[in-house]
Amino acid sequence: MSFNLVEVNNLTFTYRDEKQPALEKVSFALPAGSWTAVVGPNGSGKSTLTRLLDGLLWPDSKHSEIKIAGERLTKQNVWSVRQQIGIVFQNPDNQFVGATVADDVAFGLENQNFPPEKMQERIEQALAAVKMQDYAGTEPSRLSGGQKQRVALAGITALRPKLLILDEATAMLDPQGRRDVIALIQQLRQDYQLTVLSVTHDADEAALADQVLVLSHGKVKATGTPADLFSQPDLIASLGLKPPFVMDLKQRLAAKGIEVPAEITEEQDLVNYLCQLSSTK
Amino acid sequence: MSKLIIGRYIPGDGPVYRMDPRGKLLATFIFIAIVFLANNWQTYAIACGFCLLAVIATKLPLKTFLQGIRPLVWLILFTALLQLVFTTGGHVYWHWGIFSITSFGLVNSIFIFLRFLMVILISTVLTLTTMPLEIAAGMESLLKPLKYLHVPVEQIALVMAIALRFVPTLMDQTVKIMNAQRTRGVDFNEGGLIQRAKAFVPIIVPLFIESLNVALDLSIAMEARGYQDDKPRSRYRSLHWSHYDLYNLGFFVLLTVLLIIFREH
Repeated sequence: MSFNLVEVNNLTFTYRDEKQPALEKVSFALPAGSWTAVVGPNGSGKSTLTRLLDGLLWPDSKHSEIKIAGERLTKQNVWSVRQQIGIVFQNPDNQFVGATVADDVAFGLENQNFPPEKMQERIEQALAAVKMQDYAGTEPSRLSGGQKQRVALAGITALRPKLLILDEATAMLDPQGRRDVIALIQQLRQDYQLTVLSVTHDADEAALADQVLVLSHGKVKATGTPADLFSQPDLIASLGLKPPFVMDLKQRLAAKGIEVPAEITEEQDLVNYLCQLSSTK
Repeated sequence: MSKLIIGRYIPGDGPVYRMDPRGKLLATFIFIAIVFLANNWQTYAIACGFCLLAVIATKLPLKTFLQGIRPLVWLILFTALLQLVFTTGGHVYWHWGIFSITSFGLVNSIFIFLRFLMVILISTVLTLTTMPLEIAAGMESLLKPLKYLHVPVEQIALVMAIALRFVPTLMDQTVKIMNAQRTRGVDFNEGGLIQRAKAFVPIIVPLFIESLNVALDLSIAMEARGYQDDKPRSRYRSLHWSHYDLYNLGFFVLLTVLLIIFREH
């Protein structure tokens, strides 16, 4: 696919009462069907970028341009453009509106004035797509974080958007939940031809992307494939980006004189190894 | 907290579960009003009979209802006791200062006790068999006429539904904060009343800040999901009247008529 679903030109945004712009002259494009990871240290403007794309914030000047599916985002068309975008936020609890799983998936449909008689079918379909069909009547307090994020994804796929934005959607999940959600997103992306923009601190997640956009102090510092990026350890370190956790810990242990065998690459194996290490001493 | 049965929903499939929340809300209000029509043994017997019927129609074990009454039993007994010792008239059984037990007092206190019990039972029937969300939807539907007075009924209903949804979340948060404060050495079970109340300040403040953060996040998430408060929204949970509601309201009309016939004029 050759056309760009999202085109951003010269995007500048300053929060009220701040002198430094949160984003400065940012330009990039997301080819339709691609997966783009946005990485960068805290305060580099990553979340601001997602909010601008969805029209939740507005750029400083008329020279900034955001185009979604060829249409320029304005205050007049923001609600129709927003229908093409789904966002999964960081905190699973703070985006769960419904009192049950089914009610939460229904919330977006209700907002679009979706015909009630067709709603049940849509909801069941969406829940099946995220493998949560057995939980339709469950209350959010009985779900794990990963399950809540899956419900959030169901709520989005039920609306059939073109662009899926993940705003650190896996940051608050345990490793297993994180893996499940990422695998699910890859599946949904294929099934629904989604373009994915994922804001992340997780190196493993960024490694899945087609292209990586590096933000620093509100500017695009680098773009490239994950392979390009991760072959520059200095760049990664300068961004405050966490390298994959197990690698990081092994390096630090080695610096203290504790050599961990190379075949240990999983977190759980490392935990077991370290537990045995201290108990044998 | 988890033992508290009042206001809790228990899944089930008795006939009461199939009734429309609007009908159940109406019936509950009607019952609370007409219970005051009862003023002799016959009418109290009729009302109690109806109440038991409602309890049986939930198909829930009686134990559940007893659990629901237990926390309120002292309040009921206290009210009945006041009625017992302060009512005068009729045959005097016992007398001491301003207190006396009379035949009128005895009958009155039993009536008060029964009235209390019935109101609690009927409201427990409502809350046990109706999800809070359905109660909110029912309320919204019943309050619809207020829209003509420019009361934002739909928005209020959404606020209610969201508040209900966040009760368990904030409960969890409270437990987390309490544990966090315990690790810092706060003891919630020691000292006098004032000291204990003071110990709750370090819970309330973070909880308050947390709920403001939740509200901010949630409002952004809702907007991102296309919520506009001035646009028409369709409904996933639509309410439907069925023949069960006909029985429900029919029963209560019958009860009203019976109470009016048999009450002492």
